[in-house]
Formats: sequence, structure tokens, C-alpha cells
Amino acid sequence: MTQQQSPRPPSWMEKFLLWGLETDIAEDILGDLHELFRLHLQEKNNLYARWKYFLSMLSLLRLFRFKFFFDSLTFINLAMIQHYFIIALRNLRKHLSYSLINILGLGTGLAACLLLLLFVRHEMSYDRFHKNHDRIFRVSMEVNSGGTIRHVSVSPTALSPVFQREFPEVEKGVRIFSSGKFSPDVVRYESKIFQEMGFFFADSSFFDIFSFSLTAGDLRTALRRPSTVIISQSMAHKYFGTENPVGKILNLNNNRDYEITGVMQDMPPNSHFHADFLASFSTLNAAKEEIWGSANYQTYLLLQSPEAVYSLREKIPAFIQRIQQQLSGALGPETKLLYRLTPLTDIHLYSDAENELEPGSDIRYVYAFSAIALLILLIACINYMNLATARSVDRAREVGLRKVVGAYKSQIFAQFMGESVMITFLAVIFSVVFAKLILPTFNALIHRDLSLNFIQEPSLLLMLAIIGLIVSLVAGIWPALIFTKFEPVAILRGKYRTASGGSLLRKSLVVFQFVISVFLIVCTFVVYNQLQLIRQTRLGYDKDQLVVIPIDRDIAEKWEAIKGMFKSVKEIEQVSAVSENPTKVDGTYNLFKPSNEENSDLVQAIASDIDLVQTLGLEIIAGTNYTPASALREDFPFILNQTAIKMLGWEPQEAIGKPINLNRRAGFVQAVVRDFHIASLHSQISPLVIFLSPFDYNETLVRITPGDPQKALAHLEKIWKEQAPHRPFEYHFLDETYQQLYQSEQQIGKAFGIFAALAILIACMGLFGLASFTTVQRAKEIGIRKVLGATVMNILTLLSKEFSRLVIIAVVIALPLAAWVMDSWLSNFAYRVNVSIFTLLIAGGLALLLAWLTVGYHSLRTALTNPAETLKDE
Amino acid sequence: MKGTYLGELEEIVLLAVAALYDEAYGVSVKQELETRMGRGISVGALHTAFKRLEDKGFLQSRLGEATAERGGKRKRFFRVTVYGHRALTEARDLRSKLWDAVPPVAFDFS
Repeated sequence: MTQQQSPRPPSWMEKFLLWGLETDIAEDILGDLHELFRLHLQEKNNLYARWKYFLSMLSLLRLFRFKFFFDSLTFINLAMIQHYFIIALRNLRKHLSYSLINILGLGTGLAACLLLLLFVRHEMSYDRFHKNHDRIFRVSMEVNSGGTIRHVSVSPTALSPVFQREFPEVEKGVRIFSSGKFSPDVVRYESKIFQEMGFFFADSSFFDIFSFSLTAGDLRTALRRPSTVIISQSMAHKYFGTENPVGKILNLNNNRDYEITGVMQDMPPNSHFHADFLASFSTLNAAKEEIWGSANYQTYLLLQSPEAVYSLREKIPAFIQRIQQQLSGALGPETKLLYRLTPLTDIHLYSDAENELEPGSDIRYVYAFSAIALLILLIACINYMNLATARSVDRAREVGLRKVVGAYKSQIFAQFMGESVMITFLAVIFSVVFAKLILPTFNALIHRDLSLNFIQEPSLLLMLAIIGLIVSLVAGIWPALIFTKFEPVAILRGKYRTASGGSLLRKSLVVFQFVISVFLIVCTFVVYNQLQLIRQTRLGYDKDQLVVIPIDRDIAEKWEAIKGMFKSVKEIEQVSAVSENPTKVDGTYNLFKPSNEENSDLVQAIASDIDLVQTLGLEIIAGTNYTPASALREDFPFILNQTAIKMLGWEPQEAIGKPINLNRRAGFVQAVVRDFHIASLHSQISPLVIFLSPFDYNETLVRITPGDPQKALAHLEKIWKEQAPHRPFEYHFLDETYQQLYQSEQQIGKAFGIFAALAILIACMGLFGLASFTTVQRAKEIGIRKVLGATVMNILTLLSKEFSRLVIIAVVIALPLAAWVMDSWLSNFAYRVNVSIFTLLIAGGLALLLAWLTVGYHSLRTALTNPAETLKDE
Repeated sequence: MKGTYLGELEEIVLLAVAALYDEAYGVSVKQELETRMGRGISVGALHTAFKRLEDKGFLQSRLGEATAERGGKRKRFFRVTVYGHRALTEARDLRSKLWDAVPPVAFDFS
């Protein structure tokens, strides 16, 4: 009695030892271990005893008869391998449809996996090409004003020089100013005038820190003097063709001339910023003194060592204390500041800072895509497993006979593993062709420039080989084990007829495949729904038929005249000049109430002329719109949105006429407009103030009549050419800019769609193959049923029922999972759809329908077979 | 030479088997080594030593009867052979010769 109740040594370890040790010593060793186990059990507890047992097991590995295993391998000689190869090929040909399903399924899975891996690898490779990438850190500012925390990627001019002087950790620093980020620049060489977005200024230390190389000019001196510029190779081609650009003069914004001192290679796609022009920082007025107050510059520091960042981070708070005096003038007493150091290689995937030089990506998407790649590959592997085991009946006699004439288990195992390796190898070839074919489409979809070139990158080949090997192992091991276990006597007596062994596992695997498929379908639907919402949300202004044209100071000066000419065109309805358009209002201002001079509220603000309200189509809910007289006033008439009024604690009606103050601009509330979106739907509508200020115009908004936009644009261009010959006529439509706010979501949505489709395709292929085998196996049963009077419909339902049950189980598992995951994705949006039951049901229904259609073909064929056909041979 | 060479662990195991005389089997030798020498030894190391000693002919073994505390497995009892005894004596003689060769001054640390 007590014997049975007390714990016994773990049986799997005992089995393992019995398997590995020579039989004549195994008994006595196991006896020793058993005795020790009991002693340890009395000494402490079960866990301790098991642990000791485990350690002993490891120590006994040295006594294992490995020699025996190696000896058995010599049975697999060349002749046998050749033989296996022939058998495998014959089998491939004999069951062609089955082989095709396997190869195409695995190949599609591998291709999807390959593409996603390329994408993930590209995302992870950002900025790693710099020789010192592990020592470069970007300084950003975290500003905490009264609880509102903003993290911006910019820093003041003083930071780089002062840090280099004060901290021994800092070896070098560089300041970069992206001029084109605020408004596009105009570059002119003789008669060639282009609008450029990639005009940068940088300290001469730029090339000491970043590993970009020059094809002409001298790295060390190229950015020394003021008014010098380095241009990229593609710009050299654009402006100078085949001429040598070095020494030539470029003009910027009809203003200053720059001498070209060098040509650099184009920055690679996996750089987090792309400068086409790199002018010397000393050209800027900002370079003349070290200022803490205003921050418009990216600062990158090269540290002595990657670890130096820790000690530097610790010193920063004390440093800020010291310069507090200089800072408080610019920031206000209640604002706290912190300089943060971001590793260069983290900027693309991890940065949460605002106004990065270029929008980054998100590490979560990298994870998501890696997971999808893995899941799709798993679905394909499961297909192979299920099909191989389901049709084990076909090969049972072969295995039985092999065993009878003396095949070892290890030989059977090796034979079937070999077959799986062969099929995977064919699938790999197919996947490379397939991936090459769809790579351009994939690139266009995700706006990347990935390439699949095995000659340039032999490492890809190695990666592919390793993936192929892993896949063949994962897919092949279970079928191979099943074949190994066959009892030759039972098979050759004809007992072995159905592949019932492992059918539970097979069913679970089918369920698993459909869980993944349904999950991806739901994800696609939800992303699509959210994008639909974004497209249809009433933004509070009319984003269609709005043309945006960037302007500069010269044009702003004679704006009223140009505006008059624009307005006289028949196809133009409204014109207004603004500092920023509503797709992205960046400028942050302090708003004061006269009763409380000390404390201010942070608001967004747009500087405009008097026609903004009607140009955007805003709705005034209190007060009156600007009139021509408003522009002539000494004080500032403000138009506020509802959120701003609510923040100030007023009702719209009572607010009219109340005095307020925006960054030292004293004025009063002229009107209140209904809230409209001034950023992407990721964020809530913030308080907004509109004020009149001709000095701040950066763009014009032109509303054209519906219909053919080309006509209106032609008129605009003609006026532009006359009035602003120094600037090319370049424009974009506001709704396009709006769409770009959601570029990453759109890419994700499309990518999800494609991979969900692939997943369900592969899963259905597997189902198709599985159905074909089960229906063949049940052919006799169906025949008898038909003889006894079953209708075609009866049989169809009978055959579909089993598969339907599996798919329904999968749907039940997948839906809550998908709902939960997508809900957390949607929480990124301030304005979002909900994951509706309707969406979930449609996704589930779709999966079920596809499964029915897949199984239906075989079911119908079997159901329509004449029972005499199947029953005649018995 | 190779056949009669006695490793340090082997020597100790051989001595322990001799000390336990009729009761020398895996667990008892293991415990003997642990209590007398204060030295833990893994089951694997011990049985490797047994196997080598038996291959060299220093030990011979017989199987005892099965007991419940061993999960129905039989014990293997070991006994030192004549060769084993000779190897032990040789090892001890070799050592005492070396000891004798040491001049007293070598250990004079005062």
C-alpha cells in the first residue's frame, strides 16, 4: 500500500536510461538510482529527489552506448540513399496532387516567411551601417509643463558645444538642422529651379560621427567655411548632369549663394534621415552664439564608449540645475526639462519623440510581422504532417515489408525524414521563385526597397537553407515516427486499414490552423474598418478640393495682391494663407487669461489671413467671422475652438469679447468655431487658437470648384509664374496629405490582408488534401449508405459535419482572441471603431464557408459515385 | 603498464570496495566515499569507475536478489580480485618509496 502511495522516480528518465545504457549494467544502476531516490525523498522532498535523479541521469550519459548508434548509421549507405531517392520520387509522381499541395503549401508559406523576414531584417538594420553606431546617441528634450509631457527630438544650439566641453564622456557632437522640414526650400542653379525637402545644415564634425562617404571633395574641410554645401550624387545628377559640380554655386530660396565643396553618396534607405544637401552649420545665424532658449536642432553625440551613456545620463539632472538660470527665461517657472539620450539604432523603431526628421516605424509591427511569418510557416508544416500521416495507409505495406526484410527503425525514420527534406527542398525552390515574383508588389505596398539577391548576399542562402532544414524537421518528425512504429505483422495481415492513430492530434492541428486563419481575417477586417472610419469621419472641415501651395517670405509680402488675382479665377472658390494646414498643426503657444498672468495653458495655434474660416468650411457657433477691418486692428481678434473655450471654463456665448493673450499678443475672443480635427485621429482634438499674422504664412490653401482640377491648376500656375518666378509651382492636395497621416496603418492593413489570405489559402489546401483521403477511406461506407437509401444531401452533410465541427471550434477560440488583440491595437486611436460582433461573425462565417467549399468538392464527388463502383470488389 | 595503471578515483573506489567487503554495491560505496572522504561522487562517475575496474580485472561482481526499495532491481555486489589487491599494494609501495625518497629538509618550513 505504502509502496504505491510514495512517489516513484520519474518514469521517462528511467525509460531514457534503459534505452541508453547497456542492458547488463542498466538493471543495477537503475536499482541504485531507485534506492537513492528513496533516500533523498526521506531526506527532503519529492522535488529534491527528482532533481538529484535528473543530475544522476546527466552524469550517466557518459556510459551511454553511442558507439552502437554510430554503428547503426553505417547501414545507411550510398546504395540505400539512392534507393530511397528513387522511391521518394516515384511517390511524388504517383500522388501528384498530394505532392503539389505539399510543395505549393510549404512553398507559399516559405515565400511569405521570406518576405516578412526581409522586411524585419531591413527594419532592424536602420543606422547600423555607421562604423560607430553603438557610440552615437541623439539628444532629445522632455518638457513637462504642468503635467503635460512632450518629448521632442530637437535640442538647443548650446547643447553640443557645451556637452563636449563639460563632459569627458562626449568625444564629439554634431548639430543638424533640417531646413526643409518647416517649409520646402527652393534651390536654383542657373535656370534649374526645384523645390527641395532634403536641405540640411550640419557641423563640420558630421563626417567624424556618421560614416557617410564623399565621392568628391575633402571630408575634413568640406563643411568648414560658411556658405558651403555638399550635395548627394542624385542631386549632382539632377542639377549638373555629367558636369563636375564641385566649385559651382547654388542659390537657396532666392537668397544666399552656396559653393559646392563635395559630393556625397546618396544616404542608404535604412538611414533614419536623408539629406540631399548638407550645408555648413556655420552659415546659420544660430551658429554665432550658444543659446539654451530655443530648440530647433537635432544633436548627435559620439561618446567615448557605448557604456559612457550611463554615467552621462546620471550627470544630466545636476547639469540642468546649473543652467536653470538661462532656461527659465525661455520656459517659464513651472516647466521641468530633461535631456534624453537615445541610441542611434533605436531611433527608427523605438523613438516616441515628436517631429523626428522622418517618421519612424514601431517595434511592435516588427514583432507582429515576425509572429505572422512564424504562424504561416507553422500552418504549412501542419499541412505536411496531416497529409503525410493521413495517407500513412498507402505506405503501410511498404514499411511493413521493409521491416520484414530487416530494416532498422532508424532506417525507416531516416527514409521518411529524407522525404520530408526533399519536399521541403522543392518547396524552397518554389518559394524563391514566388517571392521574387511578388517582391515588387510587396515593396510598393509597404513603401520599402527590399531586394532578394542571393549573389550579393550569400548569407540569405544560408538563412533559407537553415529555415528549410528546420521546416523539414518540424514537419517530418511526427510522420516519420509514426511510420517507424508500424507493426509489420498487423500490416501484412491486412489489419491496418484506417489512419485512426493520432487522429485527435490531427484534428487539433486543423483546429490550430483555422484559429490562426480566422484570427488574421478578423485583424484584417478590423484594420479595414478603422481605415474606413478615418476616411469617413467628419473632420469638421472640408478636406476635398483643397490645394496646398508652400510659399516663402517674398510671396507673403505681396500676398494680398496675389490673393486678389487667385480669387479672380472662375474655378477658384476661396483662398487663404496659413502657417500650418489642419492635417498637422505643430506650433505650440502659451495662452494667458488676463485674470491669471502667472499661469498659462498650452494651445495649438494657426496664423492665418481673414479668409481661413470660409476656405476650410469651418462652422462658427458664436461670434462673427473676421472682416477686412479685423486685419487693420491694433490688438488681436482670436478665433478659438470649442475645446479651447471649455479649457478656459467659458460657455461659447459668454466668451465673445473676453480679453486673452497669446504669447504676448493681447487681444479678445472674436468667435468660437465647432471643433475640427487638427492632427491624425490618433490624438484628441487639442485646444486651438486662430490669429491674424501675415509674418507667419508658410502655405496657401486654395479651394477649387469641383470638377476638373487641371483647369484651375493651370490658371494658378500662370499667375504663379508671373508673380513668383523664383519659386517653382509645386502643390499637393490636402486630402492626399491627410491620407499620408495613416500611411503606416494602410500598409499594415494591406499587409495583413495579404498574409491572412495566404494563411487561409494554405490552410484550405491542407483541408482539401485531408478531405480527399478521408473520403476515399470512407468510400465503402458511403456506398453501403447509398445502397440502404441515403440521399446525396445526407451524405454531403455527413462528410462536412466533421470538418465543420473543427472549423467551428477554431472560430470559437479565435474570435475572443482576435477581439482582444485588436482592441488593444485600436486603443492607439483617440477616435476608433469598436470590434463589432458583426465583424467577428462575418470573419467566422467566411472561414466556415471556405472550409465547406474546400471539403465540398470531395464530398460531392464521393456522394455522387455509383455505389456499385466502390462495393464491387468485396 | 596501461592495463595496471590505477587512477586516483579508481584507487579510492577500489579501497572502498575492499573496506565494505561483502556489502560493496553502488549505493553503499557512494555513501562510504561521502562519509569517510567527505567527497560527493556522481552515480555516473562511480559506475564508470566500476566498469573500468572490472574491465581491468581488479573487481569482480555478482548479482544479489531484488528488493522492494530498489524498485525490484537486483544489486550488483563487487569484490576486489587478486589483481586488484596487487594493484593497490603496488600503488601504496610506489607512494611509500617516494615518501622515503623525500629528504626531511624538504618539509622543513620553520
